Amino acid sequence: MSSTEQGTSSAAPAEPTTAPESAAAPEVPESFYYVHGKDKVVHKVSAGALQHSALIHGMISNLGYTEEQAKANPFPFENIDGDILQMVVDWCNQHKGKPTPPEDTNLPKQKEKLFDLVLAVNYLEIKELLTYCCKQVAMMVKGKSPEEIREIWMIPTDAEDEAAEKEAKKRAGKEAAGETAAAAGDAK
Amino acid sequence: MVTTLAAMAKNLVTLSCSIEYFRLHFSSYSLKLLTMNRDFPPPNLDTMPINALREILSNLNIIERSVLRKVNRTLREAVDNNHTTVDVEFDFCDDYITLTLDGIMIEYSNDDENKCQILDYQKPKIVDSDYVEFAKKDFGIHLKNPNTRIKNLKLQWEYSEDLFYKLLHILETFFDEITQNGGSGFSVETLELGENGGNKIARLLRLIDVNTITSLIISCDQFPVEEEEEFINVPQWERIRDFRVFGNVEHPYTIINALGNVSSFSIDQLNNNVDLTSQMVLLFILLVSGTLNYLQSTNNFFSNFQSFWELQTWKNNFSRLKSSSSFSQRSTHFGKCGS
Repeated sequence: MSSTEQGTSSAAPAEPTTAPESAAAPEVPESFYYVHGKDKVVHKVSAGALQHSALIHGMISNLGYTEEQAKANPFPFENIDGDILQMVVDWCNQHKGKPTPPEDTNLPKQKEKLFDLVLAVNYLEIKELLTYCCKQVAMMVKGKSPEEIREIWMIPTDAEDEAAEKEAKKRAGKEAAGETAAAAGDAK
Repeated sequence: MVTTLAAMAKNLVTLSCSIEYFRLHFSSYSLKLLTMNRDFPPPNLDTMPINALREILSNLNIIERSVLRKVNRTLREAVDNNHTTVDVEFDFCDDYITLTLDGIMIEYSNDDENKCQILDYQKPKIVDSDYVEFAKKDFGIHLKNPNTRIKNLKLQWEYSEDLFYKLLHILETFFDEITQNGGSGFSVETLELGENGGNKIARLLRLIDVNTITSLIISCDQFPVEEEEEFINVPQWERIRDFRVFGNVEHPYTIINALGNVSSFSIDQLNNNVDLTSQMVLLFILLVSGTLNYLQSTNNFFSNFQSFWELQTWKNNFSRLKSSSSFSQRSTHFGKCGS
């Protein structure tokens, strides 16, 4: 789907940007489905590759989509960044019908990307990929002190957290009081 | 025109079905949507979905999980809500204590007056504290998670009264904390003790949750186990299914007669008690093979037994074991003697 077609996820995709087909020619013609992320770029994925995602697999089984319908209505994942969805699709295609290896070294090294991937994979319920990603996150935690972990991931301490919560409550209280006062003024 | 309209109608129905499906389907994923929403803080270790956090925790050992507990409240809750099992070994020596958690050893030694040197898998450090107190504090931190179950708790104190009471003091402190929070004691599956005194064994056995203990291992290579009646009368003994002794037993009859629910037992004795053990093994085999009654008539075979009553008690005990449904799973090992 081109960028001009953004926001029309139900429309038929003109040209999928990636069309990863299975290398070996299958005897029975394989059905394909279409997914798009926040960037509206449609990815063509085979049903075999989508088996990895319990969420999409469940959706396909329950909707009983034909290939035409699937092409016309790509699955929208507005909450997943395009590049992350691309990574997920690539992984699903690479591991289609194959036993998953004990380790995966092709995961992003940047923590932001990795965390986005974890969220997407958890959302799409791709168990094996979630295991790999979480293992990588665990490796980042190993050997670090609580202070180092806080610093690297910019996690606030309990005290900072509580102070922020108090501040938020105070602000919410003030806003509520302001609204009440405004409503009373309008009534007069 | 009609065909086009029909196709459009069909498409509309499909689309409305899809939207309805997504609405229904995604309602169960509302929590996930929350975590995916960009209005919320960016994804971080403490904002991970619970599934992912659980998976991350499964890749961390108990020490690393304890470190994560200290980061903030969210991670502490995540660690505490996650059930974990750990092997713990607490070894009290004269000037140092070693605490081994899942094979990772931490040594606390008396470096200087009121100073404690800590040697762990990371780097050595010296802290301004008594080494026993520091070991106690660390033990508490690592086992702070109420959902931690100790698979194997091994305790040793070099048979020293002084060291035993130091260890007991630490364990009793945490036992009190556990019971105050509604627990029934340490969640331990196997208790392994380097001790021969029945009284001390009983005191430690009482600290274990009666619902979790299944095995008791006593190692006493220096002195025979004595005062057996002390520990066979605590409620925890009734829950033990696997009992092993490595060393001598002063009165094996007392233990054998109290085996009750124990489905697997072994007494690995030293050579000075071989005759007695051989008889026990032989008696057991004969009973299982059904030839005991025949041999019982030839009274001289059992002449070494202290009394006929003792023989009857043994016979009853073994009969009970034999009649049990899980008899085929039972195993009897008499270590060196059996070989």
